[in-house]
Amino acid sequence: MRVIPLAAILLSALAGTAAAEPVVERDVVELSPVKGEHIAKLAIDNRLGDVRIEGHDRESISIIAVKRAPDHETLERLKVSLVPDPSGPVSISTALLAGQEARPIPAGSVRIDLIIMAPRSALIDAKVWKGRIAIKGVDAGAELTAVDGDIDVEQVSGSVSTESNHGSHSFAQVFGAIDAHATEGDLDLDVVRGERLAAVVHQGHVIGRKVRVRDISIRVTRGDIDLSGEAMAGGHYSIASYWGNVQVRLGKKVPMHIRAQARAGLVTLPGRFRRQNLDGGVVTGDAGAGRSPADLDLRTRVGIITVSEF
Amino acid sequence: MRCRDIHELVTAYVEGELDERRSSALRGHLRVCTVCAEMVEDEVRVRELAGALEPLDPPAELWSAIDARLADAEIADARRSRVWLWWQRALDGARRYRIPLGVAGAAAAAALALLVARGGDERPAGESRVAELATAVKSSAPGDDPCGAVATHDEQTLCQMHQEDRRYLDAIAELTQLVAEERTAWSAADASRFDAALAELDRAAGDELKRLAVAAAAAPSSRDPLYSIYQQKIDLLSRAAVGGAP
Amino acid sequence: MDDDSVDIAASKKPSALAVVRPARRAASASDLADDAVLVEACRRGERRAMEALYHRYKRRVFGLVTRIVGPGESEEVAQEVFVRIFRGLGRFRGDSQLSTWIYRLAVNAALSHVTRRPRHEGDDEALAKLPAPEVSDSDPSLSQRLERALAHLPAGYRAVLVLHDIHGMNHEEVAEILGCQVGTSKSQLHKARARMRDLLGPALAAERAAERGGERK
Repeated sequence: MRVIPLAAILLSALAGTAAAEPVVERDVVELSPVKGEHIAKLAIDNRLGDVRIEGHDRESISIIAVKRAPDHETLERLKVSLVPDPSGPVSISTALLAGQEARPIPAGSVRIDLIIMAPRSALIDAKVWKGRIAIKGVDAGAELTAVDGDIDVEQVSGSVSTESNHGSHSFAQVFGAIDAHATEGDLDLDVVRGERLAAVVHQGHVIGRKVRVRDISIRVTRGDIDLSGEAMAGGHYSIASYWGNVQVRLGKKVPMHIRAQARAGLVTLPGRFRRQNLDGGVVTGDAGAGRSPADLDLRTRVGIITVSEF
Repeated sequence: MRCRDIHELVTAYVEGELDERRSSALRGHLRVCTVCAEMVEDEVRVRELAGALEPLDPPAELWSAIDARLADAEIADARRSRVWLWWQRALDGARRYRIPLGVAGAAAAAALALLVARGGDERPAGESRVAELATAVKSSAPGDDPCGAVATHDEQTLCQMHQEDRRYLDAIAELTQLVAEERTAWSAADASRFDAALAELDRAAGDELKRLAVAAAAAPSSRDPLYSIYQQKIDLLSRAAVGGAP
Repeated sequence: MDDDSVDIAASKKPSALAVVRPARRAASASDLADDAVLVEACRRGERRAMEALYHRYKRRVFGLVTRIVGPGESEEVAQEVFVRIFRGLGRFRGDSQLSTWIYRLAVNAALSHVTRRPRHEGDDEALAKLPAPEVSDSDPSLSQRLERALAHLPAGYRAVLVLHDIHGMNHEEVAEILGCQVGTSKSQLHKARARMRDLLGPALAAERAAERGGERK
């Protein structure tokens, strides 16, 4: 793998007067593999700002690093390091090097934001601390962690896993499998297809439109779940909120078995279901005849369950 | 129209949702059936009575009770950062006596371990001073960043780490309580399987905390393994409490 | 019952052959603008705005909560609702009316409080706390009977009856607040009313007999 030496193309550098004006520097680096080699995996670790990744049809990686600091001396301490391991993943990480204790850096005055263009076939692994991850147009899946920040996934295929302690996740046109985990944050899904959708949210709403997945498992402790899409024959759908409403809107009438339990409230099923009310707030419903009905298990401890068809 | 139909349609009729043809048929039945006529009268009467219920005035003290609870909630918010407040003081001391930040990082991890060990809601030593600081530092509005009031980048990072620790631990505590309520209905086998899985994660978390206490670094990435364990714990607890499957 | 409740046009004896439809005042543009201004001020933490918002909604919230959880615990739940309102205003996106959002918080809090309680039919302590009638009467009025009968309805039916009949919402509004379909609201109301008719049956029959006795005179 041939590395073009760090060509620090300074596209703009604002000179600061004393400490008042923040300094901004924009570095661009391009990394190309040796002919015949492909970049299989890209690991990004940036705890100082945002990360944006876009897939492109070239084999090279372009990295734009935007650094912000209160003065030039601090700017020198902001480093983006690149480890192109011939046998493994290309690794990009950022750091703020140690400086003099006598002049500590003011809070909120330093940041590095990364914009990365990567080959579509590279598997992406990105971690940020307090920042946003946005990814678009990659085909080999992604593993994204933003401890405090939003994660936005658009036009991605493959196995996508997202994790945040505080921050919302959005998925638009994702094909494959999704594993989302959020302590506090909403999940928004728009046109999602594939084998699996698994989500665990402690506090937040889960909203999905045009979701057509074989196996779905969604658990929310506090928040509503509103899913609209298609159930597949033989699919398993387990959707539960402890404290929230569960609303499922189905577009296609497939044979289906539903078990719904709303311990405090109402369960509504479409007319075509043969309904049975059991103890403990459990309602079962069956519709259509078929060897492999879709199987729905809907639960809420405090809330209302509504299944409708459009 | 038969009596059975009147039973089905009475509410729709009284609400004016019934079409003219069926309304007319319904009225026709009522002319000849006293029982149904009385039922419709009853329906109208119930609705009237409900609609005529006097508005209820809450007691005059309700506002001050709400005001007091809001104030408590704000203090509780400030207290969430009490470990970083405690840490602030330690940092001040470290700066004064020139203790390198690496050691301070270890103390941060120790503070976290203390928080976890004491279940997060008990007070470490020196708490009275912290309580003073907590009441002095009041969030002015919901959504304010409690780490926004910090002066330096390093302190802010540490504050954020504590805030994220706290968020995970609060979620785990809340889920643990929900599981406690749900598990009364579990079988003994399910309960012991669940407990074993939880104990395994607790062991892993404990080991990670010990490792953090020894390591000097206080960088956000140092939290990665610990947060991964917390996530697995939330997963396990949520499956038991929300998913109904221990 | 809104703060600006309007008399239902049925002060006379109801006729089984007429359909009774009360008039409702739609929220005016200035109402909505007022709400928006208040919300902004509350978000900034202005105490006077918060108190104004409280006074604007206190009867609606307290009334709804009392009729769902009963008079014994309604104060505590009403407090909880307002605390959630003020703490949650930051998240209110204005994609529904403020009143709808507030009602939804109140209903959720009330219903979840009801489900946490151990179930028992009729809460004697709570009944004892009902306001005493002005005229000391050993025989409670129909209105009082209705209030007590509410406690005997399942929580879901109770919520729909309280929102639709007592607070005068239409089915679209009830559905939005409860997060259910309009059809569900209609069928739940039907069942709630049927249950009420059962519970109040003897008292209603007695009223009818008394009126006929009076007419004959």
